[in-house]
Amino acid sequence: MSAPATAKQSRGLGVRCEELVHIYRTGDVDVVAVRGVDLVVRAGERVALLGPSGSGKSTLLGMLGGLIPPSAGRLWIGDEETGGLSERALLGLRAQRIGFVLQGAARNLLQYGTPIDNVRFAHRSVRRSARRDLMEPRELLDVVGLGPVADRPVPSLAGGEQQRVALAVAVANGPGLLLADEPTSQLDTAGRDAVLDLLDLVNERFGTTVIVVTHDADVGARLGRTVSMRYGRVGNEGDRGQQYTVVGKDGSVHLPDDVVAEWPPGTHVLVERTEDGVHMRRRPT
Amino acid sequence: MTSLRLALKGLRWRAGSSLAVLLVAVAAVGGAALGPMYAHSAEESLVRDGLAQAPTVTTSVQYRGGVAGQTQFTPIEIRDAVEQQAADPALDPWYLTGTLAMSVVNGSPATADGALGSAQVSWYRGQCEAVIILAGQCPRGPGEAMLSARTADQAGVGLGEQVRLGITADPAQDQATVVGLYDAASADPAVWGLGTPQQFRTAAIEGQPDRLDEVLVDEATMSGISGDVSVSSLRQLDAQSVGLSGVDAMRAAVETATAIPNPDDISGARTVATSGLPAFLDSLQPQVDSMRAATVAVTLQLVLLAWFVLFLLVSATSEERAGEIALAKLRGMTPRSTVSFGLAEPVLLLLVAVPIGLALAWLADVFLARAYLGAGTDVAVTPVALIAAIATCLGGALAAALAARGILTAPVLEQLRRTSGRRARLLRSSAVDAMAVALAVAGIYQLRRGSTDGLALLAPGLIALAAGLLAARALPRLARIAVSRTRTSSSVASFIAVRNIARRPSGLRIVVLLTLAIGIAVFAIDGWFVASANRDQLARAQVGSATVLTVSTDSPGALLAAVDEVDPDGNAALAAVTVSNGDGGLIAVDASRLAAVSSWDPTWAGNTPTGIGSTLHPPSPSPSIAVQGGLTADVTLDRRSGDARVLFAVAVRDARGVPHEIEAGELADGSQRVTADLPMCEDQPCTLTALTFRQPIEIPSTAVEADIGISAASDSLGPVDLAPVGAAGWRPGASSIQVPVDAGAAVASATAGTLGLQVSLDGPADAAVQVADHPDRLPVVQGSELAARPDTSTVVSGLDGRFVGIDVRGEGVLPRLLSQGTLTDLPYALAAMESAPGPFTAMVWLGASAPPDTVADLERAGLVVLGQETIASRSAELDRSSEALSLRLFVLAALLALALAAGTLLASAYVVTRRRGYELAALRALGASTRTLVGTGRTEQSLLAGTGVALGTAAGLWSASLAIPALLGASAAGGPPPWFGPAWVPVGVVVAGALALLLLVADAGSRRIARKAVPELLRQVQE
Repeated sequence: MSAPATAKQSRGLGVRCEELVHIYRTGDVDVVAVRGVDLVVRAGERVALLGPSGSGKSTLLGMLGGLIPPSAGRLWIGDEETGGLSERALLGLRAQRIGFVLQGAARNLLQYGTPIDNVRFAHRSVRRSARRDLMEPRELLDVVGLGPVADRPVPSLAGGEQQRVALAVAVANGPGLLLADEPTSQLDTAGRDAVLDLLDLVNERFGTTVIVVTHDADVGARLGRTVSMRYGRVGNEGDRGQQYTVVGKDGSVHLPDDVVAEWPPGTHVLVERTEDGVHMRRRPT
Repeated sequence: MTSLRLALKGLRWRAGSSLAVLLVAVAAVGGAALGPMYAHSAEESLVRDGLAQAPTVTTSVQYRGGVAGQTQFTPIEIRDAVEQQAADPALDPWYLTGTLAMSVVNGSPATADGALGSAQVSWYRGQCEAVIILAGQCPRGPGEAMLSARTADQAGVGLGEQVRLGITADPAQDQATVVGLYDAASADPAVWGLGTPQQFRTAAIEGQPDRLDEVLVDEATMSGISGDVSVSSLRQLDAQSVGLSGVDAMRAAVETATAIPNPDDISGARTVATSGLPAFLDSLQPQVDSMRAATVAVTLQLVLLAWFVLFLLVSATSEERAGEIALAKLRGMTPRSTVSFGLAEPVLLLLVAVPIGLALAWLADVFLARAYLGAGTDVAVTPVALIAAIATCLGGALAAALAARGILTAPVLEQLRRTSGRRARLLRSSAVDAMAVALAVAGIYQLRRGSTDGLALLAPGLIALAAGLLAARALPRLARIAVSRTRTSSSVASFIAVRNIARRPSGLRIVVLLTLAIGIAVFAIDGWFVASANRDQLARAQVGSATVLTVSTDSPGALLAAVDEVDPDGNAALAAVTVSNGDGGLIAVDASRLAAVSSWDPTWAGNTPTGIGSTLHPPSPSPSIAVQGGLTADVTLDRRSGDARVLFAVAVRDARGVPHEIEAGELADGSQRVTADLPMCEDQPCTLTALTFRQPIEIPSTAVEADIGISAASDSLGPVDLAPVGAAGWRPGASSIQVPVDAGAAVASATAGTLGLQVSLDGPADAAVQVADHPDRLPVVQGSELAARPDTSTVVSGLDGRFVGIDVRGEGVLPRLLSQGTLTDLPYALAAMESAPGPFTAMVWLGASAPPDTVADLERAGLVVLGQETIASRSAELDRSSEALSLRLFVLAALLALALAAGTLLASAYVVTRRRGYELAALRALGASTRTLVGTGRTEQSLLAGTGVALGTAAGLWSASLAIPALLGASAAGGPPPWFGPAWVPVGVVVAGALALLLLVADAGSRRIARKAVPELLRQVQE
């Protein structure tokens, strides 16, 4: 896999969330999907958002991509706060600065086109004059190792190939931030590794910040930094193998699962400040 | 180019739905274009038919010049002037070369034995080739003449005989030798123009000369005389050369040719050119306008329907493409790019549909023109058709934009989750509903007022649309009620079906579409069949029997005799005569044959065919009394007072039906033998009609009262019984209307062979008794409009032009005269004649079962067939009237509407397969059987189709009940009582057929969706 000599890709974009909240209404009930998330992702960083179904990670990804407006809180993509942006400006953001990969490779692609057609389709969101700064579709597909299938109809490609095409399309306009929702689900190990290799390539060659939603802890480990979400909050963060619990602004702390198993909900805990830190112990019965 | 390629790939990827949209778009464009194209062809056919059927006198350009009043010009100078003016090249594109004729109208041919009669003496350019010469040759130079064979026979003149033409005072110029005999019936109208050489007519007044057929002479003869020669030329219209686009130019050329008096030409002779063409074209204009209005209305309805259909389909395809459009937004495309991407495929299909639709419309118009319009009717893609096609295309694109609007503005993730959100609520817009209902109400109001244009023509579509929209509002509410009821039902399919109806706008759109399409179809089919039945009835009334021959004959009596000779049983042919009068005309038919021969309908005048026969021809009080050769009788005059002289005359009717009165001499007091010579009764017996007594014209006159006895009557064959039925066989007066004026004679007694009369004479008035071989007053049926006149007379102008008393026995619609005029019995009308018949038109009506050689038999019997018309040909003409052509357009629209509706339903099944497949896949995953899944779709679609069909049928029938009386009212005026339907059978067939088709489509669609609904589909749905 060789890096393009003439590719002009944007530098990685950092992300900063402050107290991000998203509430949606279903029937007569308001559901808080994301509650007060504080998160900082540095430019060029690779981050995995982990968490069980319904933890709010995909909603958070949608907010980062400008697809879901935050109900409250502030969000910066690079130096730009997205809260005040119009729908048109958000479109512009997605056109050139944010690449988004939806869950399910097929949904990211025009099924009746080839990989080349799909990359060209993505280029349509960039002004004609600016397109010459982008890699040619075939060149891009060569870079990501999809040159041999560039002219084949999408439905004829294997699942892993389709997912890689989807990633290629997402970075076709040289975004500084790549957001991918479950890019490795429904793939076998080889397919998963190929996708992760591609994410590495995008991150390393283009400096693109990569944020991936995944259920797979191995994927998280491969990406480096993991952010775990539960009940709409960031609970833990891991960095190079070390897991940290994140203290919320309201002072709440998400306990690791093994601790919760020992201390079921409703357990009274005594928090004691000691010389070497803070200790928690169960209230004696 | 890349975008186009991608759009083409997308269309190929969705081949089924793309084809469906393309077909509907083609049908829509084709339908929209066909309206104006058909209208153009129909309008041309209307004009050409009108011109072709119009009398030559109306459409031709006539040039006349005469020596009368221009004595300074010779016939040659006038002929040259007329010929030069008639050679106007501006008329050449539409008019044939002019005829040229020189005539002396009132010639008086005579032989050495005496005058032959009065006759027109003429020369026609090309006359020798335009008639059949039966003997001798055509006049080739001065002093030669040719007579009709009939005239020669009548006058006893043969070839080689010398005649004086009676056209000039110069004996040298007036003398001619009969060199040829021609067949007067064979004259070619292309040479004779408006005239005919058949001019023979028995003199209307006793003692006056008969009118002879035309005497033909050479051009040199006419040029050389110094009498009053009239010169005429006629340029006949070649109706086949008239195209709609050239009508204005033709009119302008004719107006120019006839408006400017001919300036002095080489001879200085003045000529006059006239034509009825401009006025005739003006009279066609209302029909053309009516056709145009109908076209606009039909086309508008079709285009609106097409837009609606395109809206439905494009919104369905757009929803199917929601994921792709969401992808465009996900990639950050500008709204403009997204719209362009979203609409590229439907717009491409619409653009492709324009040429295909136009081509199909052209082909359809060619077919229609050949099948239903006049021969040679022009078929062209008119600018209006092109505009209609493009408007449909643009409207389709607008519909596509409206349909796609919701999808273009919906949140990306919502679209990707395939939830419907708040999209496509256009149809439920109260404003749209209110507008449709308001327009429908306005249309109904117009129809009730009897208007047949503007909103009234749109009313059927508007009513159906309003019904559909209201149904779309009501149906979800009803379905919600049904949901709670079906919840406890064991039928899962019913529950899901009504639930879908309650919550899905797309199904409601189908109801609107079906209501609209079925409404238009039912209206059109009902209207067509009702109007068609009325046209058939009108044709039957206008013609009278299956075939009607116009014939030439000497007299109504001769006609009656000829028909009786050919068809003695009275089952195949009937003699009929019409005469003009101020009351809409008189038609006299042989009533005893009406039932067997005519197309009489009981609705016309409230009588059965048999009944009308006996109504018009009741039994007469007395049989006819025949006399031959002469009548001799013993007459006794017994004065009771007065001594004035008394003259006695006998009135008879000869075999041709012509009345004669012969003076038998003056009666002396006492007994005497009196003979009336009846030379007209030598060869064939006459019918005794009256015995008349009068005083010689003496001043002062004196009164006489006497008893007169007549006995021992005899003719050349033997005794004549003057009282076959006693006194009842005679009645006072020579005619029915004289009775009140002149009741001076009465039959006092009548025994076998003897008449006893009481006669009272006072002044110049006659006293007469007539044979009561016909009713005293002529039994008649009057046209309803004549009967409704407040000043209805008790008399009618009879066959001889004299008034005859009538007994009105009914009123209604009469054959040929319709609501005008008077119908009576021909034998009785003949019997009521007192003098020779006036101008009349003789006809022979043939029944549908008349043998094929009847016409030849009639000609052998001495009748000359001048023309023929049939109910079928009249029906065909009426089928090309503006009303019929408009309704045919409605039928076309109806068929197209039905095709669009069925196509849309089928296309919807294809288009929504994937979308509905997700829902049914979920049901299948929950354990629902295929049968349940199919049943769900089938029940839902059947409910929607059934609702649409039921409402459409009701709306269509209601529209028809409002519109048909208004549409047919004007054209039915004066004709048979119109029938307003409904035409249950054809409407029932169409509705049942449409329902069956829709149910089949619903079933096929449901099976297809159920087959595609596999649980694997659900994997594509985002959590």
